[in-house]
Amino acid sequence: MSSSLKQRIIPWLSKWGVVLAIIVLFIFFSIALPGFLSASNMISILRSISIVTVIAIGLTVALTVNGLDLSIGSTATLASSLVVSFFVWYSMPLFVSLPLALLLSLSVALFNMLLILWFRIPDLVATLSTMFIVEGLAMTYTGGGSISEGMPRLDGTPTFGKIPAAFKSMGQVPLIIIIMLIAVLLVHLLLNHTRYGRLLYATGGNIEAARLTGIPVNRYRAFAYIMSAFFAALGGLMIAARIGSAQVNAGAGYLMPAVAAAYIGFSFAGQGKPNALGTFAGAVLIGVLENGLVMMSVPYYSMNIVKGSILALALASTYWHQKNH
Amino acid sequence: MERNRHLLEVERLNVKFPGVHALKDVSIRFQTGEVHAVVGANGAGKSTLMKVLGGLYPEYTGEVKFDGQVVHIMHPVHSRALGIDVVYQEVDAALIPYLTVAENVMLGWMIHGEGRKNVIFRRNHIKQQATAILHRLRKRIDPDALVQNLTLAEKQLVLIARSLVEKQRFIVFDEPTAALSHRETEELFRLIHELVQTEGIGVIFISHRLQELYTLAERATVMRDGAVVASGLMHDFSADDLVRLMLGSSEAVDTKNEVGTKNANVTREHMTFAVHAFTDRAGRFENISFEATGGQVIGIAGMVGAGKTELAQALVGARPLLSGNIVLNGQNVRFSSPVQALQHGVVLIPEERRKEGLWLAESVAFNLTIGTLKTLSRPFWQGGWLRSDQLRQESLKMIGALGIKTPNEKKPVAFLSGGNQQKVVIGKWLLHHASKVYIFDEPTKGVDVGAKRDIMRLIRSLTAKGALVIYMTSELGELLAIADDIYVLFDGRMVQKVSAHETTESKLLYYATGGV
Repeated sequence: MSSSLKQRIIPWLSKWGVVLAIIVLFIFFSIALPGFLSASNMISILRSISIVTVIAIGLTVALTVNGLDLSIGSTATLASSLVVSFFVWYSMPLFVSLPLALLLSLSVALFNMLLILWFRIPDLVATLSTMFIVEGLAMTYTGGGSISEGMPRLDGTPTFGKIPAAFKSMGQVPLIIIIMLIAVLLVHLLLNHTRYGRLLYATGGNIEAARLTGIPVNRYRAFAYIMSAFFAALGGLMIAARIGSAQVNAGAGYLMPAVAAAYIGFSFAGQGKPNALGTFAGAVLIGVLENGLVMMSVPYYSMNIVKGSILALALASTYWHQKNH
Repeated sequence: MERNRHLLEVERLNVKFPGVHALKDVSIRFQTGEVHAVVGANGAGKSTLMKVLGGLYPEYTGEVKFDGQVVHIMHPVHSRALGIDVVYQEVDAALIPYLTVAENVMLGWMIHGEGRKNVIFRRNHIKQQATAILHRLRKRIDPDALVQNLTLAEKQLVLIARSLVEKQRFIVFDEPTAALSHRETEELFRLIHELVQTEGIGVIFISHRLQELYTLAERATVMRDGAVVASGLMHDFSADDLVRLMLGSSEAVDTKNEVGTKNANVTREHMTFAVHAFTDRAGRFENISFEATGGQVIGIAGMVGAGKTELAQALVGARPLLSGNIVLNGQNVRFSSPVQALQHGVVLIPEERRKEGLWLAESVAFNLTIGTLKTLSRPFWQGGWLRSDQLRQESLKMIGALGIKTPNEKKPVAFLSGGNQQKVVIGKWLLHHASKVYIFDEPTKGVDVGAKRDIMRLIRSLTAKGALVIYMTSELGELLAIADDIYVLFDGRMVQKVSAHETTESKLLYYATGGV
């Protein structure tokens, strides 16, 4: 390959590699699997990635200020336990239980802020401890078990509450996909077209310069953690709506795919930083791959090998690009 | 005294960087058993020379000879093997904070020395050896103390002790006293005397502080613009000689005409700005006071380590004070963060622009407008939406006004030259209409001549509009050209106030290097 061609192709690849990978996978799977390209399968892919995407979109905001938030999985668990308990144990109406569950879950962000901004614990380990604590909290709250309609509480008290059908529709097509698309769009607009987005990127891009430029950096860091807890809680509500009950550690499995989607998205369109559309593309890539592999009868327990490798590949391209800059 | 003298010679040493000839035919002889001072103004090549000896610039040309033998120093390991140890200003880079004093002293021995053969870590043996060395230096320092809890002076001591363990023959000190207190400096000098007298080590001592060298050095080499201009016995040079040699005779740079006249008649109402008894909480400067009015350029002269940068940060509330306050237009203000300083129109153009002033991966427009987004976007209740047209226009206006060389406003600033990057940092505050006090910290560092002139002109136009400029630098010639009043900072204290047209560069240098 001539060097000038090489010089043009490598940057192009690192810019559009994710999109290219999605296209290549699409072509490959639609040739190998007759049912892959059907409309119902496309919708099923979108449905399968919607919860991960919503959680990942919140993490994307945290990443803009250079803050990794590992507590999103357990925040989702907490929100799902809370909302189902409100319905089943306390028979609360929808318009009370939804906002209340979201609001209570936001306290996770407060705790993260206490650890990170007040005690100055590095974000990775701070949110790691939050993750444990919240996981334990959610489990203690539910008494170590799941909550579903008609199931008595641990002390034997019978329950009469029902999960409203309107709530369950949050976990069904089309609403689940619409929620995801709105979340992506809103965060995309926030990050790219508002003052707040600029200042979030400024804080994460060079915190010392941001501070000396008179940007209230801690306010923006706090805002970012609140956003990540909010979307994690929203994801938790969607989990509960989808499975119609609260399961032990239901959100834990969403942490790693969300982290992967957000990091895969870094290189999208050559941005080299966390961004909403990139995160969406990352989630699509993982979703397409998972869907196709399942249809090719690859066992579910091997799936993490593939997902992990994709993450490693995406990170390698992002950081290798930085190194050579 | 005549035991095993060693000679370290550099001959016709040349180092070139893109655009800079950092060392030009440098030839110096160093020998063990004496202190050899290397002095020079900023950019004279002292640090480059030291880094060649430390093995950090393998691309040098010319010869380095050890006891007459040509040696090739391509890597720090080579210089250590030859017996040359460099104590850099950033001592922390050479120490492991969570190990003890003894372990740090014996580090080289454990890795390269006999200790590397030991599979088992012999704590007591290591402690004994380290204690013996520290004893030889007659220093009471707890060998079990963790290095992270030591003072700077103690950390230097640990590095010196390590050199002794490794039986180094030459120790190069890079500005070791820049951040030391008076008492600590005296202690260090006593120690260096011991090293030379009883251990027979050769000390190469790099410093700006001329006065202290007379008590320490036998021999001195003066460098200017990458070349050696004089070399000889220390007491053959007077302090005046040294200053003159450091500056050169052609140093009467008259940039005044180029940058226009001073004190353009300001018709505006004068703003007043007074700093009272600023004292740093970490002790880097104390009792700094000065007064100024709008339309002036106040110069603050000081060499590296004098406390300029710390003062600049404290002025915008980015560094905690022990005491002191600012009186702005008769109103008492105290900034606890740059946010507040900004509200009062006090802004900083920091020295480390790449680290503290710019977002390198972001566009010129992003960098120019980041401090003024509030006026370039819709209010909160309209979602804080960016007015992208205005954003672009303002950026283009500033790019034009400052002559920033960039293909367009979307180019990441990482691709701009140093001078153009500096213009971007300045432009950020010009767009902020409330700015009235501009603090420049070493604004011409790494900036080419043309951009330097542009920056000077810009400062003139700021003061012509009634703004106050506080200009901090170690480039003393610039101050003469641009400043009205000059305050000289030495060792964290204001040692002199002079008027720019009543002083000379050599006087300034004399004060800034500790003369009184």
